[in-house]
Amino acid sequence: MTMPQRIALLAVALPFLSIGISYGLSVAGGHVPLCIPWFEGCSTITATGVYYPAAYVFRAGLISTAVIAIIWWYCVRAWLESVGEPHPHPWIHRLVAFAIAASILLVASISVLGEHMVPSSEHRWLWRFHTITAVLFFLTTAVCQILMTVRMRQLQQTLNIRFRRITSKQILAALQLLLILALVVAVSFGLDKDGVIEVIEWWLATLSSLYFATTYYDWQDFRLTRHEQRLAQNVSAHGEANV
Amino acid sequence: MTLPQRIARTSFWLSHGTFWLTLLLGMYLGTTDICVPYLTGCTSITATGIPDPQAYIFRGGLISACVLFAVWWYCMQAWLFEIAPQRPIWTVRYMVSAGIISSVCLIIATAVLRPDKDALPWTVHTVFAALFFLISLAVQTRVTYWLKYLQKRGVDIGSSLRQKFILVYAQWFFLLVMVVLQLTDAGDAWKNIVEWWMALLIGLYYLSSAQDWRYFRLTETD
Repeated sequence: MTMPQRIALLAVALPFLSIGISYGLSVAGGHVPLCIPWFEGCSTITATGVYYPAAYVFRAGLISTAVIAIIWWYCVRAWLESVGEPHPHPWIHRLVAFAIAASILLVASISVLGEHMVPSSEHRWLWRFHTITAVLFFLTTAVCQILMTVRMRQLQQTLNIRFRRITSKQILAALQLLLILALVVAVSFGLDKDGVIEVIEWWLATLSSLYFATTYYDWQDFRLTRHEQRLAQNVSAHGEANV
Repeated sequence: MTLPQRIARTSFWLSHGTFWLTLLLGMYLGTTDICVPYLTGCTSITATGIPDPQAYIFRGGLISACVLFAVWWYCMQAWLFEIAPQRPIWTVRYMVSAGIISSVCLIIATAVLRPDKDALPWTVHTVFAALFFLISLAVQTRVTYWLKYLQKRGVDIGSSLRQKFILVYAQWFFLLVMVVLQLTDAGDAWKNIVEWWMALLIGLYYLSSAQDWRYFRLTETD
């Protein structure tokens, strides 16, 4: 497994595990009900990381995920720049810069979470800060993932990317955009009842994380570091010598 | 500036910038006395990250820095493989694993901090923070001796070896002092001084590699 592939797996496994464990601990503590939140919307993702000890796992896992996401975006930049025209693509740099800024917002969003935010009526400013930074993270990440998909389509031949790999990314990116629009409509028209917002939140987080994982197959032959490239060359040289 | 240099510098400035910012904020908000903890031991690193709102900056900054520490260890391994004429011995080859384990220990120690001190799991915090210090020191020492070994064989290892030895020996000295303080049940002020210095020395070790990695490229696009 290459280093970028490990990062892609980590970027999806770490948030799933962290949120899953936090949710389990919160259910065990009686702070959130047991359900399938993707369909029933019985709890927000945030609610799983408010009460201790779930909050410990939640903050450790998700702040680390944000930094892993930054490394993932760095891999994206290096990968998309490793081929194609010789001139640089400044918009790829801007795209990655925006995505990194979004990940920093996630760090800020998670850092303020904890039992000290209860009751919510006495900590409105903190909740508002958490909500705004989390929404900005989701929105910016979704837009960056869509733009990345566009660039992949442009470089499909040069990077030798299979069509279905781009399609899966397009579906994930389009679904994220639809969910964000649904969220805006739900909030604007007062339809945010019966767990609608919660359901959207769970799906948005899942799709955004799954997008990270889709690069696992794209990066089968992509070596991020020169150290990796040398190791791969040594392995292939040994293979040829044995043949 | 190369990518490894950025990682070395960010590892130091993010972790210590977090410590100093939370300390200053604590002084401003009146939760900490105005002092220089490196000299007076008026507060511990942990204490600066317990009350809100300093805790928000503390956990955000330090947990992020921990992931960077792991990346720093990867850079160090890649650099040693690049400059060494022979394959490094196994303790050096597995330093990334050890570096990741030490980073995870510090992540756990930081994540369990909470404003209500009575409910804080102190044992978990103390054990994992101590493990971070010990594992980091062990791996830093091993790498420093490996660099000396390479230098003896004429390999260009940069200019920070002397600094690295000073940093490592100073850490061992402070560790010894800490053991004595624990055995004699000395006051918290002395333990706090040792803690601040140990953290500074570990951070400076990460920073010291920036000068060696001036021509070291981690990636092709770097």
